[in-house]
Amino acid sequence: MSATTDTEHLATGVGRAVGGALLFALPLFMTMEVWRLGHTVERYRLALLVLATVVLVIGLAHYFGAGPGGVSRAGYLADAGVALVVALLTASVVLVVLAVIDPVQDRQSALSVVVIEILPAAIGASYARSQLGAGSRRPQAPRYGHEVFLMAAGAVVFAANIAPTEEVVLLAAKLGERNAAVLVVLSLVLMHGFVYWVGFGGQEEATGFLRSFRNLTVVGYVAAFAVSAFLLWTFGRFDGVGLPVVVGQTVVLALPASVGAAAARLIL
Amino acid sequence: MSESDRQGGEPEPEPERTSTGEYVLGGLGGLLVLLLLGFLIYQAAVVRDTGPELSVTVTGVETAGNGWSVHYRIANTGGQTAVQVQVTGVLSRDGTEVEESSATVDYVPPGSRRSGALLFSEDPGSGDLQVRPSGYSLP
Repeated sequence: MSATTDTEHLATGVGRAVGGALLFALPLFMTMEVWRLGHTVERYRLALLVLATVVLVIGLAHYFGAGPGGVSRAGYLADAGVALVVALLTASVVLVVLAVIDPVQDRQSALSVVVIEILPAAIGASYARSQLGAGSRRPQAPRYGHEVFLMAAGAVVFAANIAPTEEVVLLAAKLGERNAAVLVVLSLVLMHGFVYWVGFGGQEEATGFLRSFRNLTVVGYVAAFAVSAFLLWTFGRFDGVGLPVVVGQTVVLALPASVGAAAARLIL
Repeated sequence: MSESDRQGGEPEPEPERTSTGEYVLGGLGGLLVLLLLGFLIYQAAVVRDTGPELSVTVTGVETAGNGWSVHYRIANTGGQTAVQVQVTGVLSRDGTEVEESSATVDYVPPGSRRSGALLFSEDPGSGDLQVRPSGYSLP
């Protein structure tokens, strides 16, 4: 491969990654609560969030075909690195230009805001790169572990955009036990319907209702629920509140998270 | 995609290698993330949350409209964000208070500065002006 095509290839890959990062993370760049969260979230929670982001991006690069030829270990690790660096730079540049963060006057919270924002940005970058031409490889028969991982990633994308907002707290406060229970059922029905009933592009054949419901829909909902709980905890929504509120908030956030989980199985 | 598509439909894409540029960029990404993690963990483990430590300095006085504005800068050298910070300036002459002015700063994160101005109708230069933070709450 000549140097020119190499450079072009790199430029295309990076360009797509920037596009993906913006597509997935722009709503969160422009969410006020995130700017405030930058001042309050403890450092160890942010460190855990970065760790989760890294694991997620490496997993995405590994399972879902990375950029060009990301088959070897070094290949997909390099790919995850590219997605992360693009996410970091995109988030920093956009947030500085929007005057959300001021790296000179306000280093600490600038860092915190960027750290929160790279989660969806890195997933977007990674996803966009995985669509890069011949290099993208999709496992022909996705293994079960991959599917569950994929659902968790989809849940993260949707949940990350909503988890920082005050609306989750408000909705959970207004939600009674009965509505919470109905919401869980509704989430499950939506998830199952998305994948098996309504005929979107990547629709799958159900291998027996009970089996696919138990193995994928219920497990996917559990993944979405866990992702929601982790994000809410990270943003301090569980601090000083009782168990009913914790469960209520998680159930509320698990609705978009489970739709994201189902959509991820169709799209990726 | 049906079985036949997979086998014969499209030619097997030739296995591309990750280019050097991508390795470099990827390595940079890894390095940045490690630095970020290291910094966050260092801050979490080593830097104690000491609570906000606020200090105010007057950066300038100028006439504004019918009065004077006293520009201040408030800095937080502690380990925690202070919100709803009250900045109060008291102008006294010969031991008696002439005028008081205050402003609220939304929030001052650790290691950060915020600027603003207090407005006076009396000339602040004509007496003894004291500007200090007078209260805050924790987020």
